[in-house]
Amino acid sequence: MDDLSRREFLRKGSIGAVAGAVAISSGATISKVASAKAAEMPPTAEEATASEPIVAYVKQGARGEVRVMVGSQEVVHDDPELARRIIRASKR
Amino acid sequence: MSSHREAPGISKDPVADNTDLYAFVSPDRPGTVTILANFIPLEPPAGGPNFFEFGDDVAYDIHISNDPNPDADITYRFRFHTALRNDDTFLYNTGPIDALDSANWNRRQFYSVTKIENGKEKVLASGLACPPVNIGPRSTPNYHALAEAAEHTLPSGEIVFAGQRNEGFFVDLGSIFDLGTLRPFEHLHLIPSADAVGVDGTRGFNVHTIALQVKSKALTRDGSSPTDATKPRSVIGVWASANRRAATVIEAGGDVVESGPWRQVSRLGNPLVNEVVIPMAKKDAWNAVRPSADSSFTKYVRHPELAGLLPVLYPGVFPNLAGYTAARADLQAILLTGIPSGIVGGFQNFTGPQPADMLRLNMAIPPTDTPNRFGILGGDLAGFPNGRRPQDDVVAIELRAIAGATIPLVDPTFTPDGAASLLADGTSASDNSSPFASSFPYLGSPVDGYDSIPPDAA
Repeated sequence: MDDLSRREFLRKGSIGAVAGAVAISSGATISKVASAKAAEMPPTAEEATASEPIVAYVKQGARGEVRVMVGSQEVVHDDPELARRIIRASKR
Repeated sequence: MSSHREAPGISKDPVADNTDLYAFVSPDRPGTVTILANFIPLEPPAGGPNFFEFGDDVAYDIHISNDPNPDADITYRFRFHTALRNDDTFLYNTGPIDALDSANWNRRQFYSVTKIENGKEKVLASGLACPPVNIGPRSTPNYHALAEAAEHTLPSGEIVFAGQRNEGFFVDLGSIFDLGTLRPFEHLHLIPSADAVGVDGTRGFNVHTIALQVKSKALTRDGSSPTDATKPRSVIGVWASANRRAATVIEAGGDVVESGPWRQVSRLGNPLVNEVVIPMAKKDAWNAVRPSADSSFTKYVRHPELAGLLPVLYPGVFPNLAGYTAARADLQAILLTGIPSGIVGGFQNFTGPQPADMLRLNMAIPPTDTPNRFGILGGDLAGFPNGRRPQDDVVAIELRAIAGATIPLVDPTFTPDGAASLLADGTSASDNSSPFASSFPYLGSPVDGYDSIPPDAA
């Protein structure tokens, strides 16, 4: 790479990086607005949970234990009917 | 290795792999304690374009116990997030990185520090910048300044750093895992060869370090400054862990969804415990439980496999060790409970009878200007197993202890074999690629990718 093209490479790279930074800043602003609105009208527990992925885990269906994970929480249900319904739902 | 790739499970998850843990009274700031928790083993410095970094999906914890219950009384949790400046380049950097906010640095990491105490979580700081990795003279021309800029003093007083450093642990990996060979004593091995000098198997590699410096009195159970080495409140137990979410779902498009509570996948207190004491079939389980559950592993400390192997691998060298069948109360004290008063003059780091693998630091023992690499075995009460300093030769210390050098501490009728106090793998801190620093974060500057040389090209 000669001197000219090396400078061009560095210059282009810098321009690209700045453009990327602008895009990230815009995203952060939108996120902040969303947070402010949320603070004004706090979601119900059900709404908060519904906005997050939920993972249900049935290790031993015969025992009727269903582990439900959401956010950083894990709720263990001793619910044979719920376990049966999930097992039924797993059938093709 | 100290705890690098030490268990089958975590060896496949390097981002969450604890490699070393250090805890010592800061030599340049004696009213403070420095804790260094290293992760990501054996980083080749030239590992671009996706250089090594902390895991956004991992919770890195430093735990402190300051009472007889080995559960954590204080936990510092470090969480990371990665930010891209430019979605249209494959490059880590598009020009020289001369500052932490350099527009040329494409892939940056930031972190938060949360203190968990008495069941309450408090975010001490967030958006703290990591330094880049050390790439080379064109990309990171003044690496020292970048690393120094990434030392942050928190509003609560702690000083933190999180980023790449040179691997400070020194060990002859190649020989030790070739049937327990120690190159300086190879002529005595069951399969003999000429003696040779040790080879530092971790030389030239880097790690990622989380460094924390905190006032000593902030770690004692009653908030007092530790000044009396005889007092139990002067002693803390320290361990580090890495944790992942319980559930991971990989979407068809490559997105990853994580959910559930944190699950511990790696931990580290004393060096080499999971590495050479815990059997392979138990290593993953050991990593998953807290030190307070270590009673189920006590038997491996009291009857270490390595103590039985040494007389076999070095025929005729360890007759006294071979004949010693009692449980190793010395190792149990050193590794699992701390050393009670009355065993080593002027010293104790006993935390109570409950066995738990933690580094135990008596914070009232002042640092010394003339550290001995063999720590307490060398008459230096400020060194391992009173906490652990970067320059402590923990391989030699633990080899000698397992070989019987410390049995007389608890059983005066035992005479150690002559070789027990000589064992070493022939490596030292001077083998490291970068010298240790005299101030925070103490570990040397990472080897840069451009100047790194693959071992067989050296």
